[in-house]
This record gives sequence, C-alpha cells and structure tokens, in this order.
Amino acid sequence: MTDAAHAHGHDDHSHHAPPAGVMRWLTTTNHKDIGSLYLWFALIMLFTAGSMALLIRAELFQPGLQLTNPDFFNQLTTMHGLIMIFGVIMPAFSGFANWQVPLMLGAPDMAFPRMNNWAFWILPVAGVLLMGSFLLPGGAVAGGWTMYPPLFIQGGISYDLTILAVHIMGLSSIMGSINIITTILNMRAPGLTLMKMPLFCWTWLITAYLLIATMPVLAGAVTMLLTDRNFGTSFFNAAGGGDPVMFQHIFWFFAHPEVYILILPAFGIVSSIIPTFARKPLFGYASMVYATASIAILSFIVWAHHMFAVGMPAAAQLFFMFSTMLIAVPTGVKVFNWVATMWKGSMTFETPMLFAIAFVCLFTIGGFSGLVLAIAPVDIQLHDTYYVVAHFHYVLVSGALFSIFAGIYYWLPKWSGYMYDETLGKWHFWLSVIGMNIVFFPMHFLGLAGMPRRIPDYALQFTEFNQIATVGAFIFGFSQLIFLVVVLRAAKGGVKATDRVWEGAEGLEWTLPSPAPYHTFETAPVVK
Amino acid sequence: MTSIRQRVGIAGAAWAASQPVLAEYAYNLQVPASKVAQDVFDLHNLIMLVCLGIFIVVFGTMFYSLLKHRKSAGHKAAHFHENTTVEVIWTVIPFVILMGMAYPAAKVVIDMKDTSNPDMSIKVTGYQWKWGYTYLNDGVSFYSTLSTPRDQIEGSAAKSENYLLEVDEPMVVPVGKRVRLLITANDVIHSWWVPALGAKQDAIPGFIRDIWFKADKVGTYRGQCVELCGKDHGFMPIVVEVVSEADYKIWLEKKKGAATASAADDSKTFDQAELIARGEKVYTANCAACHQANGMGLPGVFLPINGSKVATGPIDEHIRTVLNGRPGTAMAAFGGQLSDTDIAAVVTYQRNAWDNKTGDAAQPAQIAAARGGAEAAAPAAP
Amino acid sequence: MMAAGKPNGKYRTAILLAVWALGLFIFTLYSGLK
Repeated sequence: MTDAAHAHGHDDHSHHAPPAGVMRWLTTTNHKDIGSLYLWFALIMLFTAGSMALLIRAELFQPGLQLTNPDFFNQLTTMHGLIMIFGVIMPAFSGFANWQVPLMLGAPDMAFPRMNNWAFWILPVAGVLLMGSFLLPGGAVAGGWTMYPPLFIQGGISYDLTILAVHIMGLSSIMGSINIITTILNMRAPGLTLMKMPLFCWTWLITAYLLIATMPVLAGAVTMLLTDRNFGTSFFNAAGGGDPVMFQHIFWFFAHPEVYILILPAFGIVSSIIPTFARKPLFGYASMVYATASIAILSFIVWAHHMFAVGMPAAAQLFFMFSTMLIAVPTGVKVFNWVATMWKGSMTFETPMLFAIAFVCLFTIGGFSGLVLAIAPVDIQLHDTYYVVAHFHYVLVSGALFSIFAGIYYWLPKWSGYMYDETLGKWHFWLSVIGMNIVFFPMHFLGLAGMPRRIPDYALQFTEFNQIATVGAFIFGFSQLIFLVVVLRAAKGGVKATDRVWEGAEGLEWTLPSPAPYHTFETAPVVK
Repeated sequence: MTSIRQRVGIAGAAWAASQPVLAEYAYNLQVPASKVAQDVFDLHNLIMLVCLGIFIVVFGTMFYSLLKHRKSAGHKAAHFHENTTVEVIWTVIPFVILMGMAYPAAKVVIDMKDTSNPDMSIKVTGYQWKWGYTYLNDGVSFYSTLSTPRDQIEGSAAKSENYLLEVDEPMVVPVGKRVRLLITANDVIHSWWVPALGAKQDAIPGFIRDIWFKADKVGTYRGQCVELCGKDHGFMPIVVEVVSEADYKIWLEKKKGAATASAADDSKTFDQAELIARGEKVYTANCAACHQANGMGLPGVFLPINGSKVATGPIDEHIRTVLNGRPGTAMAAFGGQLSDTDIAAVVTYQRNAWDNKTGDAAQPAQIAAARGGAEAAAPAAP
Repeated sequence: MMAAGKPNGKYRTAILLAVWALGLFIFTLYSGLK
C-alpha cells in the first residue's frame, strides 16, 4: 500500500481538513461520507417512487379511469419498480456496506476509495435520465420494469435512455461489488478470519459475488434490446429469426439472483440487531453462513419460475418447480435461527428490534406466498396477478425496506453521535407495520380472485379490496414522513449517544466513539 | 366482565352472522369449472394449510418468547448459540414436507401439459388490443373485442355488471369436450387466461404454444389478458361460453353463414355514404384506441389522421399504410385483420371525416389489388 | 488517510473480478447471437 507515500509528495490537501461544502461531497473518498451519500440518495428516491405508488393507488381506488390515462399509468408502474429497486433498495444497502464493512473489519476505508466515489456519483446521473424521461415525447418508459420485448421495442426515446440508465446503474453496482469483495478478502484486521467476521459482512460478500455474476448479464440483455430497437438486429424478433422468450431467459437469469441481492444484506442487518437486543449471540453462525451461500448458489438455477406460463416443456416446469421449492430449506433455517437467537434471551424492544422482529414475521409471509407460487400448476393461476404483487411487496417492503429502517435506527447513533427520538420511532414502526399489511394483504385475495397486474382499471368484483389497499397505502406512505423527521433531527442533534449505544451490542464498530471519527482504524486493531 | 370464552363465542357468532356480507369478498380461487381447475384449487388449499401450520408453530414460538424472555419480565439471557441436532432436524423436516407437496404438484403439471387427443382445436391470436379466434376444424374465424362502452370507463355512465369483462364475440365451445388451444400473437406478448377453466398461456409473436381445457358445466367464464402489452392491456378480456353440443352446432352454422355473407361483400361496389357509415364503425372498433375518436392521436405517441398527409394525399399510399402498417412503430398491419370491404370503408371514412374533405371513396376491389402489390403480403386472417 | 500498509493483493482481486464481469457481458451477447 503506497497510496499515502505518493499522496505526501504530490498532494497539498492530504494532511489538512477535507474541502468543505459541495466540493467535499463531490470529491470525497471517505467511506463514511459515501455511505451517507448513498443513504440520502435512497431516501430521496424513496419519496419519489413512493409518490408514484400513491398516484397508482389513487387511480385504483375505484373502477373507471379518474386520474390517469392507461399509458401514463403504465409509466408510473414501470418507473415505480425501476426506481424502488435500483434507486432505493440497492443504494441503501450500498450505503450500509460503505459505512459498516470497514468499521466491522477494522479497515481504514474501502479498498478503492476513488472508485467508491465514482460508483456513487454516477447514480444521480442515472436518476436524472430516468426521471427526466417523463418530460420527453412519449413520456417515460412504460413496458414494465421487466422490459419484455417486443413491447419494449415499440417505445420512444425514453426507452433508449432507460437502457442507458440501467447500464450506468449496473456499472455502479459492479464497481461497488469489486470494492466490497476486495475489502473483505484483502483488508480484514489481523486475526479476523472469515468465520469470525460479522454476518453482515458475509451477507454483503455473497451479495457482491451475486452482483458481479449477474449484472453483466443484464447489461448484455439490455444491449440486445438497444440494438434491436436501433440497429436492425433481431435478437428478440421472431420475424428476423430471433425469440422474445430468449430475453426472458437472459433477463431472469439476472433478475432472480437480483431478488436475493435485494434481501441478503437485509438478512445481515437483522442478524446484527436481534443478538444485540436479545443480549445473546446469534444462534448457529456457521449454519447462517452456509444457508446464505446455499441460497445464493441455488438462486442461479431457479430463474424460469418467473416464466411458468411461457409454454416450456413439462420436464422444465418440474425442474424449476423443484429447485425453487428447495430454496425454502436454507431460508427456513435462517428464520429458525433468528427465533432461536431470541429464545431464552433477555429482550428489550427499541425501534431497531421492533423492525427486525416484524421483518422475521412478515418476510416469512412473503416467503410462504413465494412457496405457493413455486408450485407450477398453482402459479399458472397466479402468474401476472396481484398475488405476485402481494408476494414481492411482502418480501421487499416488510423485508428489505423494514431492514433498512431497522439498520438506520440501529446505527444512526453511531454515525451521528445522537440518539433518535424513540417515541417517534415507535410511531413510525406501528403505522408502517399496520399500513403495510392493509395495503398488501388484500392483494393476495385480489390475485386469487383473478385480478391481473399492471391494469389501470378493473372489473367490479375487485372493488372492495382495492379500496382497502388504497387506504392502507396512504397510511403507509404518509407514515414515512415521521421517519424523515426522525432522521433529520437525529442527524443534527439530540441526546448524545454513548460509544456502545446499545447494552447488548458487540463488534468492532461499538468500540469507537459516537459519532465515529472521520478516519478510523488507521492502525489495524488486533482481533483475538 | 365477560370471560375469554364468552368473548370468543360472541366473536364467533359475529363472524357467522357476517358471512353473507363476507361472501362479497372473494378469498380464494374462483369456483372451478374444469377438473384441472379443481386440481389446482385443491393443491392450493393443501399448500395453504401446510403454510398456516408452519406459521402457527414458528410464530407461536416466537411470540411466546417475546412475552416470556423479555428483560422487563426479569428473564436473564442464556448463552447457547448452537445445537447441531436441532439444526439437522429443522433442515430435514421442511425438506420432507416439501417432498410431500412436490408429488401431487408434479402430477398436475404433467396433466396440464398433455394436449394430446383433443376433440377440437382453436387457434388464439393476441393483438393489440383484442383476441382473434380461428376454429381450425370448421374454418370459422372472428375477432373478440371489449364491448364495454367508453363512457362507462370514463365515468359518465353507470357501469354494467360485467364491466370490462364483456366482448362482442365470445369464444363458444361445447361442454365436456377436450378443447386444444393453439396460442400465438400478432405483435407483442399477450397472455390468454380463463381462471375458472384453469387455463393460461402466454401468446408469443412468431411462436405457437398449446394448452387444453375441458369445461365441466355449461356457463359463461370470463378472463383477461395477463401479460403487459401496451396501453390497453387492461381492456382486452376473454369470454368463453360453454354450451350444450346442440347449441354449439347451431352457433357454428350461424358463424359460417356470416362468414359467407362477409366474403360476398368484397366483390360488390358501394356508394360513398354506405362506405362512410360502415367505415366509422370500423374506425371506432380498430383505430380510435390510438388515433382517438377525433382523429387527433396522442402528441408524440400516436400520429393524427385529421389533416395528415396520408389521409389527404394519394389514396394508394393511404391504403398501403392501413394494409401493411408501419414496421418499427405501433401502427399494425390491418391487412390480416380486416376484410377488403372494411378497409375500403375505413379509408373512405378517414378521408372524409373531421377536417378531411377529399371526397374520395375506396372500393373493396382496390384493396384486393393493393394486397397483391407493393409491400410485404398481408399475413393470414387469425 | 490510508496508512502505508503491506501489499495485500487487492489489485489482483479487483482485476480478476473486472475481467470476469466483462467476459460475462460479452458471453451474454455472444449467446444471444446463436
């Protein structure tokens, strides 16, 4: 490592205070700063895509078209999905990785601090491309976040810009993953073996490998869309010798592991929080590592369960059905281990623990609806209905998003040095849990009853559950303003946090002062 | 103070009394009308029970723990953090449960995929935004389009009972017969689905994939397109009317008669007024979705016809555009979907509607001639 | 500031991962052509 030696000779700024104001944030190579940038970006995108969701739910409050025309509705559903996945969940988890991985490993920073800066700053560029496309002729992309051709070939200029945005976001993820893998493999403090590091680092290590193994495939798929759209190729055009279903295979080969990318860091966060508030070590650490790795490996051989209605041979239906059902086993192991961590602990229920417990329970409900969908004949009746919408919102909202809330409440005192307002936190929790269930539980019934996805208007028998869902959406949506208030206040002031913050907290980050100093572990700690 | 048991009893009575109200709320799959749908219904019930059982055991344990093992109740933390025996047990038991579910599921997969020995076959084609049905054994062919009027959708008229689930021409099949569907699409991916029959298949342009169903009872079964296919994805429903064999034969004869009459039209000549009147109907059913009733289209998305060069310029170019569409855009080739008479009518209508006043009239014979020439030959009827 | 540390193989790790990613991208495009 000779960066410091070079820096001394050529760079005036190296030993002085970092630049202030906008330049600080634009040029920072500090993992804490970059972590904060990711998290603020994700928060802004959460409210952006969340507003789209409220518009969608408002339109769906009653049968008939009241607020939108069908094409704009399709733009809203497509953009809501793209932004939530690529602009909220993934950047938020990257923010956690940036803040926590170096601290948990006793490393001074990420392996490649400058690439870290680039990985973040191209994200707002992609965000502008996506949001700006609403203003272009034809409006924003409206072919679903899954971008299936030939429909995706029909759209206007915003479709090409969306493809560019996807490339940029993919590049960001790949750079971030290279950083994370390298940091974890090459920069752990002496004595910190892989099987001693916090589970959060394991889940991010595995997530980063999944990203490297799948993002390039997505890039390939959308590049083929781009050339089919603009350069006369026929990858997905039957008339030219191509096959629209090939896109689905390539896309889902990426996108199935992607959903595990969207949940594995959540498993890591929850695995940090529950032991702290149960005052008991994580049950079955080694099994948790193996289970996470098994889930990741299995995730590569299940992709066509998203395609059961495409008309594949019976043997393929059976293969993908069995392999998908298998993933329930390691996932179940993790759930049991979390419950076993709580069992005979000495629990208290501060806000991080509340969200973590809700995660375990509600994510499992999402897991059960996933198991129902894995059964291919049943999936034939549920594919492309609101049952699927219910399933993935249970795993993504009460799963991924709740784990993000949990992690913020858990680590913010370490980052900012101030305790958040526990009363407001609890209000945020209860309104979110109740609101979330009111929106999404009825959607199981809507799907079973036969309501398709991605429709702006529906037959009369679907009215009651749609109305319930819309009411829940507004409760849930507006409750997030409480979270905004909590975070804005705790970032700036309040009751000072102690170093350990939480009585049962274990790990290197809790040996540091709160707030954690700008530079930490410049000398590696010794880990026994 | 009522006891717990009394309270449970009251709750139970309230629940039972609310059943008629709850009946409006559908909590499960639709009532099956075929054996396959019944098998799926039963499979789903089985899985639900298993999931419910596991949920109660696991989260009963968790909530018990949350109550008993809390610091405020004085519980002190134990220190165990592994137990290989327990871990093996809770890996093996779920695996066994899954195998128990996989076996009946596999049987239904194999049954659903077996399309051999059909009694009749229908080719189904998805279009943006309607369905086309061709009865391969009888040569009958027609389109099936949403028949709910626009004003119901826009809220200026009360919604009918089958709002958004009604069509002008349903698929009619005889009860108790094994019907094989050969499913494809004309433009983008659609998906054909009737929940009560348990039949769903993606409609993929350039490919044909088949499924089968056998309806147990006479009745009308409704479904919808179930793969995002553009702006009117939510407005292209499916209606299957299952009738007795005798009624089916009657319907088939009527359809064949109508087809003959329509073909006869193509060799006639019509006066301009007739063409315009017929053309307006054709326009409303086929063109207005994109080009709008006022012919102005949607800026940046669908071009206007009112005042356009195509509709006021040389008639041959106008005819070719309708016949062959514009490849690479959303403008479909209608040559395969509309008869010579209908195309002549709609071209005549467009050239004389709104501010367009060309005074032109197109005859079916002109259309027939244009089919043979210039651009790619029109694809066959559905 | 990064403390001057011993060589830890991080560039090798990074290059391997980047090569993998690029190769996979090209392979995807190639497989689409067949």
